[in-house]
Amino acid sequence: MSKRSPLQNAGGLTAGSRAVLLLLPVLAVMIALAVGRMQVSSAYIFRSVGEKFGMDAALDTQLESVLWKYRLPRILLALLVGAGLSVSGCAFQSLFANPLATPDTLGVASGACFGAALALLFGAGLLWVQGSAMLFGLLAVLLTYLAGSSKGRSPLGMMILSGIMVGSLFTALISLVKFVADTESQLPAITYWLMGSMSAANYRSLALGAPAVLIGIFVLYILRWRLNILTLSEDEARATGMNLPAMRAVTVLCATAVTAACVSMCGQVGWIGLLVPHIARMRYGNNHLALVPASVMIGSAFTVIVDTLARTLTPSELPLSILTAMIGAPFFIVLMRRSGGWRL
Amino acid sequence: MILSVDNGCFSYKRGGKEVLKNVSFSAAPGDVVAILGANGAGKTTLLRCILGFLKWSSGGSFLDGKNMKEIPHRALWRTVAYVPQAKGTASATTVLEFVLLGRGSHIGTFAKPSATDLAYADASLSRLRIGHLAQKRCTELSGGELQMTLIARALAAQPQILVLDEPESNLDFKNQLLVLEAVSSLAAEGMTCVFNTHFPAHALQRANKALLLSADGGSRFGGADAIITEENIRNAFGVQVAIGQMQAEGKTVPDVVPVEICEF
Repeated sequence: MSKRSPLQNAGGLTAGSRAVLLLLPVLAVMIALAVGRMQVSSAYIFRSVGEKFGMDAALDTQLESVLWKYRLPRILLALLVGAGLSVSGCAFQSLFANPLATPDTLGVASGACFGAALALLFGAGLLWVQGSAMLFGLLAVLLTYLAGSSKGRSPLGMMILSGIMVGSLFTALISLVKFVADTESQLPAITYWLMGSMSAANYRSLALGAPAVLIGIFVLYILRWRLNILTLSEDEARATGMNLPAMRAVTVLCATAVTAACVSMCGQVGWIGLLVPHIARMRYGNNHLALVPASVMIGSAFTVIVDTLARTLTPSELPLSILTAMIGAPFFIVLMRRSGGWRL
Repeated sequence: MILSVDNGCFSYKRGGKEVLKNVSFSAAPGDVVAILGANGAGKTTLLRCILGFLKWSSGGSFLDGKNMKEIPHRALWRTVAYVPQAKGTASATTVLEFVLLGRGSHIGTFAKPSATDLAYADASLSRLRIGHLAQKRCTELSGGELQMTLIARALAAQPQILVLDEPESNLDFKNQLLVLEAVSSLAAEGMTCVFNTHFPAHALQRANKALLLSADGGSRFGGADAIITEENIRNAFGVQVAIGQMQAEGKTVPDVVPVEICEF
């Protein structure tokens, strides 16, 4: 652990940590660009990038197409989804003062999935899919909050239990959508999409989904110091002069918008919202000044690597959720035991 | 700055039983006001009403005669600070990071703490002589250390009025003394301190004014010596006490000793 000088640093990242965190996604992107059914040397990648900036280089048209038409949009999507789900995990954990709160455990992801599936059922365009995902994501978090909060402070377990119930309610509704969907055309599309995959990534869907994710991340980033106050009890938070209802509303809107936009682009990818913030907590502490940027960087790098594994491990592509769980769970247990657990 | 409550009434349900009836008191700079009352008499409710966490059903709290609900949040919480009960709910950040949260009313919505904010947080730790805890995690603190940290967080806002909810509950003798000494020394420097307590003796030792709540919602306010009498305590708590003076180490310390439960 790096030493902090208390009078220069309010608990944010040190210059060294910043450099390491910036390097992580860059390295992950380099690896992801190079690896695949068609191997591309890093020398070629540098040449090709150089060419884009006006340098002269001899390029291979087939490799060019693989790199920039197929791999890059997919990598960008993975970066975006990883950063987005990690930050919304952080935000939900702070909002509910609960280390287990994530888009998945609060039912937000299932709600957003149902909204998206419903829109797909009606053959709606991507913008509608996103809007519907957002709407039902918000509805899910509202239901979870209403069911799980009691007078005053909500007990930790109750919020998660009600999240699981709301999640299963929306999972049932998703099954209903599948049941009534046309088995020839709609059902395969919905099912494939639900499994969670980056393979459908293209620049058009990125252009539609990215703004919601980026704006959500940006707002949560500039409010990151206040996320610390949000973890306090209601009276304590108000006694810092913060407009608590407004802060809560902005946080829940941003975190849900980010989750919904991610879900509408690549389906449900579990684990990231729980795994990444806690990896960041164990390494960089619980201060959101450090935690939010660290989660963005670790989350994006992690998701790019996992997606690269998903498309290279086996001849046919693996669904992302299977991998995030299979890599995530043991990694998580090892980290948890080594660091002796965690608290908010 | 004068903190006053004028005819404050409160009931949890509209038209329901009044938990607090026409409570009035005032506190000037340097005053220490102790709020006493049996369990369920409404001590915590009163504090929450004073601070605006609960809405008075009639009456109100005032700063220099201005109704507190008309004062903007940020301005209000630069003047008044709240120290909650230390129940171990603290986050796992370092003590310094935690104390910095007390600067919330001075830090812009989209800003992060500046060097000035850090200096104030550091100063309030030093003022309470807990500077050595700065880099410790809040989850590793003892009960006494956590209570002092909560007071430090409140002081970081540079308030003129400090409102403490049972600051010395759940602490051992030494930590009780540390917390009460901190309250006394802050008051000596001109801070207004209002605190809830379960210990009439602490009120006698530390407060110059006392507010005694009885179970029916009524209250008495006045000088601590005039309010904390054997008769008033018997009426409010249903306990016969003996009030006396203890002498040791050249000091005279008032004490309140419970004798027996009174039958009603």
